[in-house]
Amino acid sequence: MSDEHVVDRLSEYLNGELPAAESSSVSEHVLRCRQCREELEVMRVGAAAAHELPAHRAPDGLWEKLEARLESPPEPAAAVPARGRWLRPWALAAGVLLGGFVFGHWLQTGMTSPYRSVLIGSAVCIVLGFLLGVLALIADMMKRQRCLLEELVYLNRNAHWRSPPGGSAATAQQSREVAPCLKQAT
Amino acid sequence: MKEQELIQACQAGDRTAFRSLFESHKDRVYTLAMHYCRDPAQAEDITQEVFLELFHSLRQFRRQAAFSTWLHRIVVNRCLNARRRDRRWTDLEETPARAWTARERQEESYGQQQLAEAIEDAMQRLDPELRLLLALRYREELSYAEIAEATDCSIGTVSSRLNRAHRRLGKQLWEYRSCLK
Repeated sequence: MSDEHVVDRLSEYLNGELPAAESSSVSEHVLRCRQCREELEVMRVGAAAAHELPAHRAPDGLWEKLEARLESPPEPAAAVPARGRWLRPWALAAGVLLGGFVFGHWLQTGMTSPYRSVLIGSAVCIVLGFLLGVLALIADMMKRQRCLLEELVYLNRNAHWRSPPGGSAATAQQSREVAPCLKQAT
Repeated sequence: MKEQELIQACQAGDRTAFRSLFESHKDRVYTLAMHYCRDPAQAEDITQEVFLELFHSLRQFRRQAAFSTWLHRIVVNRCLNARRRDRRWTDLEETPARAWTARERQEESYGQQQLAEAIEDAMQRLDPELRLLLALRYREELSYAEIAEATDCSIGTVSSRLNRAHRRLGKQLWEYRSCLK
């Protein structure tokens, strides 16, 4: 355990978010490992800078502006969709149409039989659509895998520190932690 | 009046109580919005929207959740919404935020000003979501679990994002390390 790099736990370590046993394990490792020690120094600078984040004062007259709007209902805060997800069907449709058009045109001008051109053009559309669909699917799966992997690494890393002898409470807690990510991924 | 009493009075329709609630939280909300969008006009809009939503949904608030957790959730949602709505944000450009904070810091020494400006620049280069997480952690002093609740993410996700934020900030400010430690 102590020989594994601890880079992904350094922010928690710096912020005192790790259980005592794990925190001392990180300390021990950092003393021995130059790479993690250097990384810790960088992150310590980052944390010190973040401590300097200024507080801002809300501008005067904000209440008056707000009061004038209190009677109207607020704009609904819709859930934010995953970035780029809206683009995929459009990209897919546009790609298929464009590909079909270009190939159909090329085939019609380059070949004599119109039926053959239509057949080959359709086949090209289907293949293109399939390829684009597979690419979109792979991209989506990779994103989900990354999210799940992140969760699993985290849970696996903390399981033995956080599980009580019975284990059920920690398991329930971990399920709660994973649930939003799983929900997002599905 | 205690916060719980204020909330109950607001739920009963007492607008004076709502103003008190507004006065006690407006700077915190505005600060989070400022760190997220780094534009005073945007931050003001977000702050207004947060309190509008609060005003209209306060009746649904039950004591099972802490009020601050609830407020943080609204702030995070409103920030994300504002960014999605307004795609003109350009994170690497000089925004009014820097000039604004520079005016605030006129009384500081030259060295302090330089450091403050370097931190501003480094923050400017971070993703808005990472800036918001840092502000929740270091301004609001939330634990990772509380941040996870406010942002509807797992603790693991919060941890890895904060790891990234610390690393990026640290690398950009490495030359100032002697002033920062």
